[in-house]
Amino acid sequence: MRFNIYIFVVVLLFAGCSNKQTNMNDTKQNNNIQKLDENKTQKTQSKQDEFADEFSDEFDDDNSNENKENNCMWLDGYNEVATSFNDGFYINVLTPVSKGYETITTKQIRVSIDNFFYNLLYTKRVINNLLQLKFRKSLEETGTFAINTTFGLLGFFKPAQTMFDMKTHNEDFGQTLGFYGVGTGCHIVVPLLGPSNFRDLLGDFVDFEIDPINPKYDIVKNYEQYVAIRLFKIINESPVKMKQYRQLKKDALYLYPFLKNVYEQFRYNEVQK
Amino acid sequence: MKILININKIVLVGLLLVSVSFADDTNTVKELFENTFENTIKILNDQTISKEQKHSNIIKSSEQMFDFELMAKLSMGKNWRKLNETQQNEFVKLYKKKMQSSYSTKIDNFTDSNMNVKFTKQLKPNKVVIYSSIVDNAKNSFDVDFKFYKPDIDKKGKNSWLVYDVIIKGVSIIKSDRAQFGAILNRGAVDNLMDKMREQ
Repeated sequence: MRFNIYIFVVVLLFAGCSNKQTNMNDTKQNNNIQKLDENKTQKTQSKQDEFADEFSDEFDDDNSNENKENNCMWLDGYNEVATSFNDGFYINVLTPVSKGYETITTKQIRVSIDNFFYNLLYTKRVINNLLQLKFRKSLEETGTFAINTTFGLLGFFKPAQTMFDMKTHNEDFGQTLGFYGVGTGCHIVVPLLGPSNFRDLLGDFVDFEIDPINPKYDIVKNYEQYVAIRLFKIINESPVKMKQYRQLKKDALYLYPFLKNVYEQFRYNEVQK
Repeated sequence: MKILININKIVLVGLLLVSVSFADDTNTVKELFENTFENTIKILNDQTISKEQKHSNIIKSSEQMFDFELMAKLSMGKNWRKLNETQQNEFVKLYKKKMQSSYSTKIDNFTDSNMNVKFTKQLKPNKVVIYSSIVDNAKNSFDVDFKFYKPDIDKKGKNSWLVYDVIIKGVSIIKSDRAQFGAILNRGAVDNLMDKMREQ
């Protein structure tokens, strides 16, 4: 019930945002007209600039697909704060935790636990593959799951990939929505979890409904246990994830717009696949 | 009728020539690319030299493949014109340094990995994209695409085809830099951006 209300709220936010977008499109059109005028006056510029213009269609910020609709200025203030909060948490809490965890486990153990959790989410992947009419991929996903669950000892190992050269196709409900043309909505930074957007947030709630460790399926008895498992999963993948984060952060001069752009580009590409 | 057939022939031959020259381009770029990366992996897996030495060797060997000047310009977008000539020159220098340090951090992850060219595509007569994937020992893979262009005039000490964007897991480094550089310039002056780059 609680989650139904959540979804309702998210959908409402969504709808509100799409209205805003149409207004924004109007102003964008005006901007485009202005830009056309600018272009006309720029025609007299040097050859070097003409050369740069040859590339401009590839990198046009205003018309790029990833940027079309997630520029909700009213969320920028909050997103900035959430980004620095998350950064502090990742660097000052999760990184030390990951280093401690690394000393008491081996890489093989961490990878195996990660494999187990990944295998567990087969239903999410196959349903979203089917919803996107990716039948061949659904079939391969099912084969991978069957082999890894049996020969891979409940998914702790992944012989399907390492021995049979099979592939897994990770699809989630956010991607399914994208596949059917649903826009991303506003970009929003979730505390502790990181960048997301309205579409992907809604996707997460739907995917949670078919997550086997959702308490309603009785494998996990209550929400406390569910949170504990999620926490363990986060800690288990933290050595890899935190290393990736630190590397990504090295490229950042201004963290929030950088991570926002990286996330939206990444998700756009995932939907296109 | 005869004229028509002749015209057809000419068009056909023309098309054939165009497609042949396109195929040649993608092969040239592919070869250039594969040679550079074979060399890179060789340096990476060389146990006799230090990490720092590896990095500087790798940068030296792959530098000729990148057009840092153009990449710096593209990552600034419209803001490029707001910089005066001295600022532009300094920005290119700082950008090149940023890219080199970022490249050497990323390349460390490729030890014990293989780079496979999946396919190539000619976007325009002077633009070619290499779609590749990097696969590690545990068969985890991710996509890296390299966008090449052919400059009108040969650049000193550089290859005939040069990289102007790298797309890692669908994320273009030019686009992400453009987003953050733009955001910094929206709030402050050019010096602000330069200071941040110097600090790095």
